[in-house]
Amino acid sequence: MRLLAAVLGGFGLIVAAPACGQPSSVAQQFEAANEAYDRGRYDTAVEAYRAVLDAGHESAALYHNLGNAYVRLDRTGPAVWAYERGRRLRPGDPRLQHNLEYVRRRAELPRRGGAAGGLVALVVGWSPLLLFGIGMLAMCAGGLGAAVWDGPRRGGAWQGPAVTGLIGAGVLLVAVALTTSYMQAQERRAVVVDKEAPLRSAPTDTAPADTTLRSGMLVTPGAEREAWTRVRIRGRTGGWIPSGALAEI
Amino acid sequence: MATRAGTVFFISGTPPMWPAQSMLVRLAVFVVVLGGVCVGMSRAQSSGPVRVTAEATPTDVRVGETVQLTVRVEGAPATVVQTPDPPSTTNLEPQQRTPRMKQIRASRGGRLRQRVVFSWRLRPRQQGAARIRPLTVVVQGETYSTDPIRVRVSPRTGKPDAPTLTRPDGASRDKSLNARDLFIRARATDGQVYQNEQVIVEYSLFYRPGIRLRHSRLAGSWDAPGFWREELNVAARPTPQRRRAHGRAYETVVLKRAALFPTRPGTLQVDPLRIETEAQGTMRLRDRGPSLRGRFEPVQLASEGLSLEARALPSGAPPAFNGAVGRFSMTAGTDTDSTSVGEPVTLTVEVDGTGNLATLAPPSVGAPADMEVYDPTVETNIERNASRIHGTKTFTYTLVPQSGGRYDLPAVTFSYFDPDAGRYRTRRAQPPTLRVTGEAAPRAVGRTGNGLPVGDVAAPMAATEAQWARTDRRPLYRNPWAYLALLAPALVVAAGVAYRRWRSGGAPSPDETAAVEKTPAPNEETNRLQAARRHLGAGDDAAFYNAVARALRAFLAERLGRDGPNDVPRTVLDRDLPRHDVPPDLQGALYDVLDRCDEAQYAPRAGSSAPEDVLANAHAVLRRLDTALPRSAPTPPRP
Repeated sequence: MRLLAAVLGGFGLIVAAPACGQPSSVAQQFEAANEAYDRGRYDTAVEAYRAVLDAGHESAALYHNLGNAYVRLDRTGPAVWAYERGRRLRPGDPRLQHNLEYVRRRAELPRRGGAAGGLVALVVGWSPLLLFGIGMLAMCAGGLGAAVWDGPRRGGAWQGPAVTGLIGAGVLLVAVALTTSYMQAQERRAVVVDKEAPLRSAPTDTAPADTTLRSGMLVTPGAEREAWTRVRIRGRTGGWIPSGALAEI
Repeated sequence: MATRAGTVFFISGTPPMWPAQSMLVRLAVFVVVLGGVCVGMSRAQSSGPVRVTAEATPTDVRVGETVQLTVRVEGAPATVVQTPDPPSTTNLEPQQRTPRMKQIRASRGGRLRQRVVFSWRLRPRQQGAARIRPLTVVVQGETYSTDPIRVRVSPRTGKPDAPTLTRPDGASRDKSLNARDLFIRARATDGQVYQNEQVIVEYSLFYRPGIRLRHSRLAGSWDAPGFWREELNVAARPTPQRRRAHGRAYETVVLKRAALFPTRPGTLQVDPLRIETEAQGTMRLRDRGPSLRGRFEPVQLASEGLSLEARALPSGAPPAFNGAVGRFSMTAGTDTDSTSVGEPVTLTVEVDGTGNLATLAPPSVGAPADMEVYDPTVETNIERNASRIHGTKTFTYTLVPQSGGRYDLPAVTFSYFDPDAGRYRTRRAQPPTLRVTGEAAPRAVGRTGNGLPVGDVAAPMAATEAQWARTDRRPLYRNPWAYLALLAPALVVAAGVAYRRWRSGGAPSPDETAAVEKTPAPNEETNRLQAARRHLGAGDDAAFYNAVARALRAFLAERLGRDGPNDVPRTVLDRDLPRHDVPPDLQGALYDVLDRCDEAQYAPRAGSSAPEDVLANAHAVLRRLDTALPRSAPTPPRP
């Protein structure tokens, strides 16, 4: 048992290591941004939150607070973008969900839009790392059990199926984790961050605009041509909008 | 006068002049005269006031005709007159960017008169008043303005005008091209339509085979006042089609196709389409003579204008009618049929069909009193590649129930006028019944059940809640560490096996030998003991023990180079096994198994060990012997 504990503990350290080694300056910058927000200096807060992002660090809390600052500045599109980014990191957080609903309701935006379909919709919110970790733990436990198992004479009749089940479940979970990671990476969504973006039938300013997209609407980006991106809304309506009017989630 | 060499004599009292002095005098006189001429000319040029006038002809024009605007600058040469900008106009459209310029010099009464004339061609846009604002001309740094000019634009004559081919001013008159060789034809699908009914106008370029065109582009703007218009796609690089017109064969390409929707009843005019191009025609000097190719010459082509009659819609429109004309279908549905109080529900109404989708108003959605309905978001998806405008317009409403219960949402109604049938039609779509759980939303409560504020965003999160991650991290499936981590279970198993060996001191423990039966054995062992296993399964103990003994002896005979299983008596084993460095404990284990088999063949149930144990021990012994007695290149026995 001591061996098992040592192996599992070591694996846990490997998995958790990336989350531990954060420079303290990031937390300090985040605190400073929060302080600016509390004092009502929302522009300064946005700049400070953005600086943390530009430094290569992100967290659900950062996106949540950045979204709040955008809400105070009445910038619906960037606020929706920030909350959606936060939800990718922490899918079940009620505060992110609440704020997103609030912004959408205030801006009279559709409740859904640009949402993933098919199998991708099935794995939205799943954590590949968690699934992978659990799967690896199950495989290690099953393998260790098989190695140290004393055979049917010394153990109970349950040990064989238990070991096989653990290894099988572990393999399955690891496969699901890798597949989920792949499918989530293939899913592309974006938010309209400009106040209004005409959806044109061709990537040119002179093409007819059939629909005007409002700030905060979710779209599915596709091909890009120069400074234009082809987007689809709910998999139906399609057109081109300037790439600068979009922020990918 | 008489002269002598080297001496000059004067006939009169004039002093004598040397040749050089004479040349200087002549030069001075010439300079004085030339200066006088130049000053005189300059005075003649600048003499008299500069006068700038503007004139438009005619000032009473019909739609489709042109107005000539002429600006005259008198009393100044062209070298001191700046070319004026195009005139600023109302209801008139200049047909050229730069004016045509002409310089006139005339001598009258001994005085040189100069005049510079600029002219533009203007085309009225629509019936009514038109105006040319004062035009500014700069002459020698001084600014002169013309008077404004008013032009009256009358409606187009009843008969359609014809396509035209014109050449820009100054272009040669090449006889190889005329308006019957090269023209733009405008056609409308219908000359009489209902208000807001779709009519397609198409402009096609007709040119005789053999005519070459280059540098073609649209000239000026095209408009259809009184119409809502939607462009239809035409091929960017069209393939010419062969068609006949006026009894002659032509190559044709479609230049433009547009869907027009009259916004008001009455007679509405559609502008001609104009293009500028360079055309090269062919001509024959005599009948049946060789055809000669002319030069590329710039030409301007204009189609005939179109006049369409828009009829008012008939009376008796249903209450849900909001101006839609065409043919439409409608569907309505919600994203869910059950929700809870305060949770928004999306109602999607989709109108699909042929008509003016851009101006289609949202269908009215009635809702129960205790349900909030927000204005819809609208998406329009228009298909422009077909022969007519059709597509889908989606209205997405957000409904928020304020109390629990069962909601039978009223049918969504949409009416339109069908121009083919000549009557109004109404479409109805029934949304599903909505079941709402929960109680009425509390009013004026500051917090939700989760402690989140009502009508505001949640407070910022503290730094302690932040779990930081790198923004540039790869997805799991692209992370090589994930695949390296897959080796961890194998390492764990190896560590477990090593631990077991370490605990048993390197020798196969009874537990290990017992485990061998369940542990997958090497193929050779499994094969050798397969017969024994079969006999054990059949319950034939005597045959089992015999098979185990034979398997062991056959293995030993093979590895020790003996003739067969019967050729490895105990004496041979006592002699050869130590020579192959077989450990004594393994030798003892081997003898133990063989002894048990010998005993059990005669008294199967007399032994103390179960057959399964004997089989497991035989497995273990075979496995160790396989290592101690290699198959190939057996170690020669020590002498």
